[in-house]
Amino acid sequence: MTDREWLGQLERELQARGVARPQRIEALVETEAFLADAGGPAVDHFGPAAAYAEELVRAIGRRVEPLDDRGRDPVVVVDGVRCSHRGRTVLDGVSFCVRPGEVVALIGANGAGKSTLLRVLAGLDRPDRGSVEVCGPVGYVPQAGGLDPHLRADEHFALFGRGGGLDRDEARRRGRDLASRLGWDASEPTVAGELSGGTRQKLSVAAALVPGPAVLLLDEPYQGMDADGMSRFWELLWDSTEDGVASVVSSHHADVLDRATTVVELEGAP
Amino acid sequence: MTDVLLGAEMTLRGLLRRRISIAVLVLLPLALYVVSGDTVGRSVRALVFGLTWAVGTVAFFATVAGRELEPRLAMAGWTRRRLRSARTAALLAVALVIALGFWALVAVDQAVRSVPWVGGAMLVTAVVAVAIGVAVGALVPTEMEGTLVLFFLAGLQAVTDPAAGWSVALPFWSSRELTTYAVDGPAAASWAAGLGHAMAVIGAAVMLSRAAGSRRR
Repeated sequence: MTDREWLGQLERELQARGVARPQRIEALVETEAFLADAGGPAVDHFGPAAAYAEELVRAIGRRVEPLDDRGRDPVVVVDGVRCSHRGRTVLDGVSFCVRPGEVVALIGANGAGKSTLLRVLAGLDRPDRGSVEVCGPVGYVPQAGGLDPHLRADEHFALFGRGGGLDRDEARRRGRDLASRLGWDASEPTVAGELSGGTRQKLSVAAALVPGPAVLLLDEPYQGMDADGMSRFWELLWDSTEDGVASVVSSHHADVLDRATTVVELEGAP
Repeated sequence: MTDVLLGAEMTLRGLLRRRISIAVLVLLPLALYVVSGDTVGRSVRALVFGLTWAVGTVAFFATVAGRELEPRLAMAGWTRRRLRSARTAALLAVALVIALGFWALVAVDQAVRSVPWVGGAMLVTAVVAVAIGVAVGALVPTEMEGTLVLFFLAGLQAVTDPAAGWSVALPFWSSRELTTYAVDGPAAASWAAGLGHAMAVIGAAVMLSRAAGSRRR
């Protein structure tokens, strides 16, 4: 694990423990400065990020904001969902909930039903049994596609933004800002079909965020992105949790285990 | 309303960037018209057949392309109805502009019995073709199958004897009837039957599209 990954994990551990953003930033800046002076892997100095986060929480004591789930009703509730595809049961008895600001990772082997579950959450498929409740506007990023290959980035932003009540200029401004945080200049007049795979995914993620969704459903969202793009994606996702956005992310990448607040492993139905 | 205009504008932008498709949309009816130009009736019917096939195919592909983006826009806050209205408005605009262009061509190039009725036949043909293209796009899962279905419908219409009773069951029968009325007069065809057929087909196509859309949702 690199120091950067360790620091990212530390921030998430602090956030999961209810440490307010200013205190988190202060702790991260001080830790980073120490590492810059001392050198060497962070884990050698501080141990696992989770353990160090515990120490920090004890040290900053009363500045920690207690987590209070009473004011954070779940915005996604999955209860006993069963789905089949062409006569084969893909999911059976899946239940979990997601509260505002949480990031739930869906993991599992190929065919375990990650994409199926996300499509059910997005309202694109119906479960055979069980129920799904999703509150508020949804931003959905499919594994591939989901864009008009003949439209440019600004045109996608205008369309997605209008869904959230934004005018064209505001949607473009917001979309370009989101894209730049993913490391891409979206002002280029290239249609989506001519973008590289990773850049198309950046456009897809930025477009989904433009209208300000309450729930983000992301199916292998960083396919084709380079390491920097993936890192930026997670930073953007974690920033959006500050605004209370709840996210469900499916991934084959092991890094999702460190980055999510909750992990749901799908084993596929027997 | 502004939502629909924005959606229609984006559909038009996407369509106009498919330059080859637009070229085929214009050139196919034109080519059929030019190569069958020895008699008035034959050339105008060939033009209308080309218009049917070309407009229907463009409407079909625009609908299939919308399957990727439109569900996401619906989740972002658009209503299905506004998305459908936007796409249909853009397709009708393209189809009507092309129909008017061909109408002008026939008006200056051919001594038809009734120029206004030729225009009427083309406008009705364009609207029916949009409705059928959208319905096939909503019902048929893949591009290859949808294209073949449209070719089957339009081709069958072109070679079928319009006097055969069962040919009324074909969705583009109104185009043939109205064109015949425009070229050969009321003794050969009925404008009321043509318009009535067109309205029935448009109504059925709209219902099928909606049913397919709600089933997919």
